[in-house]
Amino acid sequence: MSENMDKLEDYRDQMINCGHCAGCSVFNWWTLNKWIACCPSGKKFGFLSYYATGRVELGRALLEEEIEPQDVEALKKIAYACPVCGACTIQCLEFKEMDNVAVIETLRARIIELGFGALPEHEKIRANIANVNNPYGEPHEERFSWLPEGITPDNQAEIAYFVGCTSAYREQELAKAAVKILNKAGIPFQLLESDEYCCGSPLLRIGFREQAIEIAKHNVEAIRNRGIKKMIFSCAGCYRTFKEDYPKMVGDLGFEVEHITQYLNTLLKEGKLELKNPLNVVVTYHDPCHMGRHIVLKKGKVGIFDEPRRLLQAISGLTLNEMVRIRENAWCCGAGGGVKSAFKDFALDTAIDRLDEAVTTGAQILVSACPFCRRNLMDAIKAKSENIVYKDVLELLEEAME
Amino acid sequence: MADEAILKEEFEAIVGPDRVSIEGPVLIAYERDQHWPFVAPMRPGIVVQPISTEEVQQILRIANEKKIPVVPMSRGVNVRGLCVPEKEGSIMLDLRLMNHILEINTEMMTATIEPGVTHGQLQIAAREKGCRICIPGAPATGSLLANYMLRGVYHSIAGDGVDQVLSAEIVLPNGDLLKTGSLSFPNAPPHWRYTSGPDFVGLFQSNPGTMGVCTKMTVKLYPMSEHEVWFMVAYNTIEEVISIIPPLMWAQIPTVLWVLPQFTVIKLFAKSTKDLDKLRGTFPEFTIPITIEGPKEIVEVKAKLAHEIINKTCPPISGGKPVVPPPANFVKEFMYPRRILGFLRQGSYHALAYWGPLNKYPEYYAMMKDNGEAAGYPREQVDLLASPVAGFHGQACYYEAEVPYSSAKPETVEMVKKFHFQTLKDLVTIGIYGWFRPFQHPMQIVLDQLGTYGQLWQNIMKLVDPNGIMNPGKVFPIKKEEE
Repeated sequence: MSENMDKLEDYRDQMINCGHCAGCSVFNWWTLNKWIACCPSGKKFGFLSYYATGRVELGRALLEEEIEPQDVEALKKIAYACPVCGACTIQCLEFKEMDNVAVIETLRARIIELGFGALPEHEKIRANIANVNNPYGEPHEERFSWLPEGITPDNQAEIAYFVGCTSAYREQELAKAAVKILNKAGIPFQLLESDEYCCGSPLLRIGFREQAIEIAKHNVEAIRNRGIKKMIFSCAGCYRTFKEDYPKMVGDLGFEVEHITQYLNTLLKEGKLELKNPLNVVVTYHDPCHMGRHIVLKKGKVGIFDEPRRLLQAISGLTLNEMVRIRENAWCCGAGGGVKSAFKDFALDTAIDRLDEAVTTGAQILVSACPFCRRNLMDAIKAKSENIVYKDVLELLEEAME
Repeated sequence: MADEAILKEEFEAIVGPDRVSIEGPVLIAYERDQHWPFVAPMRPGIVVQPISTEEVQQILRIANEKKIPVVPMSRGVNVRGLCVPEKEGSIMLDLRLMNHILEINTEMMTATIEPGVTHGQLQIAAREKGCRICIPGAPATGSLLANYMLRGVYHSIAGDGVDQVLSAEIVLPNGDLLKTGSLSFPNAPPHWRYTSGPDFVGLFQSNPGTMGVCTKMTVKLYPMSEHEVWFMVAYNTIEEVISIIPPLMWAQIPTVLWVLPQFTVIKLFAKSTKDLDKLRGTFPEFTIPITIEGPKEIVEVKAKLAHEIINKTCPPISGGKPVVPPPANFVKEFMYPRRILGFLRQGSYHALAYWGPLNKYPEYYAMMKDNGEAAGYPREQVDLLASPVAGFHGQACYYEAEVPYSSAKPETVEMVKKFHFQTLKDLVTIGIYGWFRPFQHPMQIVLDQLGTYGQLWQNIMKLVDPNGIMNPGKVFPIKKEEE
């Protein structure tokens, strides 16, 4: 099975040595000069168990067979009530170099291996992906129904755009903006068509590793067979999965992986991205965890923080007002890690927290670069009836292009 | 219905259903801390999170009536197992939601806080109002109330000793509310420690949740310094180090003065575990950061005087220069402690801390190196840092022995235990002022030698807590008949 993937045992020594210092529960107070809690789960549920420290103790307890049969449901609730945003890990890297994201994901994988099962909402996601290759249970053949008329992918192109399930079925404006930009910039690109399956991110975050590996093999083989040299992604989750997880699951991919904001930065530098329409708007930018913190977690790697900002700042007339909690210290939107499906109130509360901060910047538009953040933040806007709209970086860029 | 389930219902009636739990996976997080090789893990029977003094009172009344042990936890950041239950079925009183700064009074230079307020939280809030706290030499994530109540060691105000508490509100084990200092007087504000009678704050200090639950505290604030000078001097022998400290303290020059052995400095500077070994040997044996604060003219005079005292008493090495400025992060560390969390990088953090006179530093140091070696440590891995805490004789010091170990490696656990227990005995033989925190192992060693002081202390505890419900076993061992 997943011989190359980490196991809970790999973190045994670190878990035993967790100092309970709580450094993982607060954003970097040296950087922010403010005292701000960083863990959405801890903030929502309160008990120590819902912070990284508590989940680390759960991992240790599971290894040491302290979990009794009557504890399983509570164990699952704590293990899954976390968007795995990595805010805790970013802090701990400075002190103890413990990857709490990895601990939590391996804890979940162990829960599945032990046959405890995931939460019912997660089991449904697993079944949907097994049946129709996407977590929403939508027909596979409708995956590209959003493709605008007049845009024709080029099956000989060396670059391919991986749409991802959320943009394909739920946030189609984002996918449309992506292909329109490529089209306007004159970049030939492929789509994987019926070969594109879910990237496997929801499966990996929940702990269904075996199924994720099968999907990864399928996607990689399809990409290789098409002679693609570079895959670009508008979904932060798909990007993280291809970039960080696929190599562990299937070895060397044989093609490059870039988030579309990275790729568009290159086009911008080369003068191929002409942003001629001024947009006189004030925006603020939300950093998706999967393309920021989750990349920084891998030592020596730099998260995608600057690229989307550079693109926004290249738009004439646009003013970027930053929130306090940004980049490595960004507050999570609350949707990831299976939270949006299984803990709807928690996901919404976390997004409202972010929205409240966005509103304080005076921004008219809350911008990000991930369809899953988009969904959750838009739900928050709707719930609070705030006078602010959400747009993806790509939507603004597309508007700014002639 | 099981006892815990009945208790849960009773607590739910006080705090609501979301702030009580008896579920195993919720309780697991409270069953141990990184000190577990010394304090065995024990899972509490129930956890409850009050948000007000009134809720704490109601919870304690029930616990006292049923004689169920209560373990108060302000933030849970300690390295002594102080918040790990010693008795089955204990109530974990998790106070982290009581985290409000109730007042910052810039006229009185005080702050009134709840137990869940952290050092960092109040320091940042106070600085926004132009003042600051006395910074504990501990992670900024710790509870300031708990630190001040247990008496900490501080990164600032070296001449102001160890007491930062003005008044406190304490829920006694029977649920009654004790107010100390001026807070006890009718219509008086909480800003002064001394009232008509005895100083009850001192009576309740240095008791880790064993005399009641402190729910509110008014603490001292200090003005932001108009001007600061930071510098470091370094020496290669301990005798040189101790020669310069008393004259600096007598002259009331430093606001910060720490004697940091080589490896302690490295731990503060290292950005990764790899750095720890790389930096070894690149620092002198002892580095002494010194801060002078105040109006510019006074700071300049004091700095000049400090350099004269140092150079006249014992010229430092400091890499060929008499003094060197500390790196920016070092200065930051003393304002908002953060890098100290990196002390956990090598595994678990063992700190054996006590108060003692400066003139015994060489004897303590040699003994610890010997004990470390006997336990299996290379001599250079045994550190003993010191910080003078009282200006009047310049001798009273906080000491902290540090040796690395990993809780996950039984052989290193055995090493640290051997070092720890031998050193405790040897410290009593050499002579110290007292343990920094009265936790169970050190207290066991001196209990029979404390005489009337120890007996009276225990009698007072019994008077305040006749049912022995408050964090039993954390100062004095649990007697067989009490188990």
